[in-house]
Amino acid sequence: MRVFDTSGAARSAAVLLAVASVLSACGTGPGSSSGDGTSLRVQIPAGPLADRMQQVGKDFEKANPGTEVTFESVDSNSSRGPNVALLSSTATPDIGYLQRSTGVWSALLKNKQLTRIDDVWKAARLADKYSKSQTAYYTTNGHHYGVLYEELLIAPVYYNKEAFAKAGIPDPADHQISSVAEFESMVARLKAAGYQGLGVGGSSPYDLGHTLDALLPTGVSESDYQALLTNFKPGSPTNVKYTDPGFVNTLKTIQDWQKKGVFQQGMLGMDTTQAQALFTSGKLAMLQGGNYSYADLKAAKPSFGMGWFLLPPLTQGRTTPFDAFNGDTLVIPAKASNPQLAKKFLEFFMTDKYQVSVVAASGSLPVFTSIQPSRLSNLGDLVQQQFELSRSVGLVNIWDSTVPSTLGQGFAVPVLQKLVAGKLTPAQAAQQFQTGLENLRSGKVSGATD
Amino acid sequence: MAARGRAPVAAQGPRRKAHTFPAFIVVPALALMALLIAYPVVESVRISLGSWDGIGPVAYRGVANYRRLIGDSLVRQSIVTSLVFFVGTVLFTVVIATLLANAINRKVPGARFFKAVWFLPVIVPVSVAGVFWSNSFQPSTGVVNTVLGSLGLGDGHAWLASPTTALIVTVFVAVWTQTGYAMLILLGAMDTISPEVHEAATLDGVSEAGRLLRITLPNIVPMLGTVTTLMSVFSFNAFGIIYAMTRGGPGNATSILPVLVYKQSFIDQDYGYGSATAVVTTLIVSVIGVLVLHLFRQQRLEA
Repeated sequence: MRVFDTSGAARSAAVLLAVASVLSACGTGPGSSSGDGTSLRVQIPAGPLADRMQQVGKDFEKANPGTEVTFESVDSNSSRGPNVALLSSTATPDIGYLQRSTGVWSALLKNKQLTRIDDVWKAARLADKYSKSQTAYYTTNGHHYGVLYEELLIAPVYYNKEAFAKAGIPDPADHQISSVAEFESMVARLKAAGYQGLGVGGSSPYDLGHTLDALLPTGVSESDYQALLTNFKPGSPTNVKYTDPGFVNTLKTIQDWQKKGVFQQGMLGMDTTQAQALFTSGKLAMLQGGNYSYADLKAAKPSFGMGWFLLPPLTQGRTTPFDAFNGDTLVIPAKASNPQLAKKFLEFFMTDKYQVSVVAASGSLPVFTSIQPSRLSNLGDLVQQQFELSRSVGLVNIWDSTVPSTLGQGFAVPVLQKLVAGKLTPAQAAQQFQTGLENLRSGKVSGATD
Repeated sequence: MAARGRAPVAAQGPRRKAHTFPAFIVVPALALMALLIAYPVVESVRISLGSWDGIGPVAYRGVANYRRLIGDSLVRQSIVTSLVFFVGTVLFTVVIATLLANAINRKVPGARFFKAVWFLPVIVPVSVAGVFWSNSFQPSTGVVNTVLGSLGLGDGHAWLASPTTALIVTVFVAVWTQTGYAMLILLGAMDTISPEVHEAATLDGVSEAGRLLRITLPNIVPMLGTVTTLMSVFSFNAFGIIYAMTRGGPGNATSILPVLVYKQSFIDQDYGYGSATAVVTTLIVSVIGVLVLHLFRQQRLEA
């Protein structure tokens, strides 16, 4: 394979175009990349965290007189792809935001565009504060290139208490449903009471993937699940396949739910926001969400009380664990103007104090295992319950955002949409996942090397 | 000899100036075209011949991406979807725009008002139109289903959830956004036809439909060709409306080629493969553009 260099002018033009498009999309412009050691540009995801981070910036400026922190937000779509052009350019912010499972991380790491931050990890004692799996996920060849700053709990199902009462369904004990049969029976009763069943944002780029994520940990054995999280890496064992009965049965359950009318009408044409609106309007009895959905649901001021539970286990006798997304990452790009100041900021931010006052206060969950649920009074009642339950039923890493997006979210959601639309049988869909895995392992598609 | 030798030199002075001046004027335009059009196209072709994740050097792989394209069922499906979308959008846009322009040109009551109303969708941002129509086509809560329900046709149609109807809906919205633009261009062409021609035809007892077919259309063939070519290009590049409404789904049912290019490049970080798909897309659009122009040139000659 021959390598030819993209000429300087070509690269500049491409970077300029890409940066312009990214910046125009998020409505911000690059600050002064002076490299003066006093000004710091920090990229953060658009959303509730953005407001809370302003306080961190002020605190940092106060603790480090003469410094100036500016925040630039990046939207979800850009952060999953186009943002790579900005983070690898000379116009990069000093601290960048990305999702660990996307190609942005892989591309930056592969091309040595991330600053090694072992010293930040050491100073902030992150290896002691994260769980073992989180530390392993953020360790590449013994080194660290990013910090995980929040954890998201995926796929709790919020329900309309009024609808459950009308259908004569008691609140699920311990937030668990014992079996698929029981769940389907609940849906039938809710529909008889005049409600639609389970709302999922089927046209969004992630929601249907979260349904798979919620069912898969109990659809296969624990060891097989662990294998599915890692077997995309070249050289890893290949004995667990996506065509195995457990995975096929998980897909079949999702397709069956569509056939049985478990999902809301028109699920595949509805995005997450539209599904939420249908739920808060009182027409939908249940909504698949995340801990991050609760603030939006409450803000819509529904006329009914809400509860929540986890989807049923696919294997009798097992308890559904909570899915956790551990991908929200801050990195220091290699071309950052003020890398030392950026490291100082990350050390400053990655503390118990801000995990509680910023991360938890914006509706996300702290990542440090040392922080007990009892210390958090600002999560909101239902999220507090979710956080507590996650400590007792256990957490598993979400499948579709742990494997690279060329097999996970980016690849999986269209396949699931075809499955639900009846264009693929469960076996055919499973074969597509297996082919996707083989393409990843062979290097035919990118993402397997990080 | 010397005098004879010098004479042509003296004569060449003004002639050279005459050649130099236009070239001097043309050079900036050529330089801009080279920088803004030729260079990106050449770069795209070059990236399509390699593997590139958006950073650093492009690893040259010859025509491997093009070989992969041939065997990729998603690409084949996207080509078919693009062609269906193109035919549906262009056909309906041009026919409806022609009828609307003709009605305004014939001064139907409220012509000026309708002219403004029909042009309004053109100025609505594509993302806004996409969100608006996406909500409007939702079962039970959308405006479209509410209207159908009030007519006794049921309000539970899940238009965007079915691969077949989702494509039809996106064609409808694309037509809605483009028709006003096409109408305005065609109206300009119709306005150049002398009113006396229509008056004479009316005196000869030619009906409205007859005048449209035998007078108006033959006189606007060149502009119809231009509009059809423009609409063809617009429909092949209708990324915004599709992405705002369906993101190419359900599955890949509405994934026209630009949506696929976006996914390959920005989601999969496979810019080489995305560029190869983009190059093929450009070739398809070029062929269609040439065919459309050729077709209308023939029509013009026959007219």
